[in-house]
Amino acid sequence: MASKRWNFRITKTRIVMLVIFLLTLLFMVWRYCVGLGASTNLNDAYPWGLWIGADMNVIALAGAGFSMAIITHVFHIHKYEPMARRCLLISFIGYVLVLLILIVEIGRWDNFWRPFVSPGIHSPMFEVYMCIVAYMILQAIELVDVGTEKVAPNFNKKMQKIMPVIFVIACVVPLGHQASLGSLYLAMPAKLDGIWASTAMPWLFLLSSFFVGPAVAILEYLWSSKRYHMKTDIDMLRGLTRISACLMAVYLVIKIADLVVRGQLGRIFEFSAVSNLFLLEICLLTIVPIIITLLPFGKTKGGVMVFSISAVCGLILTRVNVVFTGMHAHLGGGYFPTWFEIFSTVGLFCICILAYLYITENFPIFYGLPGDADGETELESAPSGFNQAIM
Amino acid sequence: MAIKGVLVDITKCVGCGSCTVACKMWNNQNYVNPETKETENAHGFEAELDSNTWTTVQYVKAQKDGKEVLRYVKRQCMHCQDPSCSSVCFAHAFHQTEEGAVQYDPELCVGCRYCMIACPFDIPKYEWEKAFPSVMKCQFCSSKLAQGEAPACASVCPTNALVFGDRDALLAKAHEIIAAEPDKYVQHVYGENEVGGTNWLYISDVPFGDLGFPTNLPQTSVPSNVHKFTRFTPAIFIGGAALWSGVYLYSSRRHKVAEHEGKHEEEKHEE
Ligand code: SF4
Ligand code: SF4
Ligand code: SF4
Repeated sequence: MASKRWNFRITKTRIVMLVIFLLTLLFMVWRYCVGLGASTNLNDAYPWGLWIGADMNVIALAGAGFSMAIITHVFHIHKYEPMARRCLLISFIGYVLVLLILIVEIGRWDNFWRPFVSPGIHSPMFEVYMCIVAYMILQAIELVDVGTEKVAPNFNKKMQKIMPVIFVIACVVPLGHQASLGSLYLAMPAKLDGIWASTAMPWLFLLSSFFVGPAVAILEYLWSSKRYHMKTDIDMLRGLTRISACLMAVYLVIKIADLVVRGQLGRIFEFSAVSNLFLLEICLLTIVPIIITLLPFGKTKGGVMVFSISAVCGLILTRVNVVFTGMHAHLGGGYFPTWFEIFSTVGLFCICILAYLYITENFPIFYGLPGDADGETELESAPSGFNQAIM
Repeated sequence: MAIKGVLVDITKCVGCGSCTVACKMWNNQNYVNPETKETENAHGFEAELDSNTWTTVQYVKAQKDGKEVLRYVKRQCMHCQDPSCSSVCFAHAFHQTEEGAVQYDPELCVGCRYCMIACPFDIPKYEWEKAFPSVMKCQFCSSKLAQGEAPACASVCPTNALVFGDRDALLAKAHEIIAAEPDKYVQHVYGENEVGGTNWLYISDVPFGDLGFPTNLPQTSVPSNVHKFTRFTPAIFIGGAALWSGVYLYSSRRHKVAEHEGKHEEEKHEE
């Protein structure tokens, strides 16, 4: 297998994605020339828009890498190890996407290094930035570890001496940036709607990114088992949904207690657009998934799938609600993204999907699925069994 | 050096806009909107702050004793004593001078625009039309302040609606004025405690909310509330590291014991 050549199956979808990405690059050059005013609908009233919303979401979803790492490397529940590996990969690619979007988003991209020499240590943004950079370095080391396992076993053996330390640190750093993302909005207590504006935000952001991790992992697992025609181990997935559901219950209790303490509980039953969006958020993120795990339906493949989709949509809504819904009363309705903001977000997302496909297809290590005793042979034959129709 | 401030008496302002002109002259700004290319007044009903207009005198219709009255509200950076813009900037692009002016340094700015969204008064504006934009806001004419001079706007005010001086003295004076005419003035000095206190202070004869001032602001500094969280950072890291290491050692030991006892293990490779 060592002599296997790099290959990348070209399908129509992939070509389209590549073209979208290349066009995005072209438009990015244009954006750097004309500035943000001409290329986006961002304005003095709405300095943050689609890109920031997208970044908040991608970071939260990339939390999959960290929650799966804690489950496997810290709690040593080894049956999830292969899933943790792929989550490490998607999480790393997710953070790359975050940085790519930021390079388009920030006004002075040429000054990106300033915070390192002129640190604004009291800013939650500083913590987010530093943690993400540190975390990506740690993830890169973990990826080298995974990558050299078969190719360079001697080198890999040496790495094992430091890996436990790396694993533990990599499970600590994301606590910092996931929570700090929630504290970004602590600075706007008079602007953010009272339903969300709470000192509990950092902890709620942290907890939600953690328990949605398994949902992301499950969706990735179901998708790749379809791509490679592998049998799915529903019991294992069910175990993950249970872990996640327990934490969802904790989240729900904290959220309600928080609303009660701040006297905002009545507000959620106003049935205004804002309160409805909140109810939808909390239902999708916690109530629906928890109920699914309690039902017999939760034991089926459809059940874990609905569980995961609901949780992921709920998470996206929590972040969108903070960035847009909760700020709407203060900022007004003066913003809708331009075609360029949407196109570039899609384009950068496309290149990340392509990177994921390329890596998983060329590094067999990522799809040795659990339960396959003959994972090796499965790996060899997998690309030929690759289902082109899917992507 | 004492902290400087300006006391704005809304009842004295006649809306002439001299201060807005003085500000543009001193700061070398033009009168043409860079985006619309139209000449615009920095005073009037439509006047809005932008990257090229650091202060406006906004005309506001308000109710006073059952009658409609016109009031003229000068707007600019409030120069908070504990400024949100500065505390949220991760590139440390803001600093306070000895005189209490909140300064912005474009050299350091990364352009994340967090300061814009965090400012409780929505003051910082952006040069959206530029390829390498900066944040723009009133700098309290800091070079004049450093020389002991009044800022450009206050020095040209023909009616003494803008009075420059030491903040402490101005605050005492403001209380004197409103106490002397309780029927005329709203009994509140805006900026005394808003977000922990600002160096620009306002007194008025119509409620501040009607003039467009935010009235739901915390009466303590916002950054100090954010620090209540950021303070936890070391604890999160140390606590997290301790917790995970503990669980790590415990659970890996348990696995090894289980292996020794010959129990079935799903994973063959242990660390
Ligand atoms: S008013 Fe806004 S821009 Fe001015 S010092 Fe306060 S927070 Fe900063
Ligand atoms: S836009 Fe510039 S000045 Fe404002 S917070 Fe970001 S880096 Fe700091
Ligand atoms: S203090 Fe200076 S910069 Fe600020 S509004 Fe007055 S003239 Fe303009």
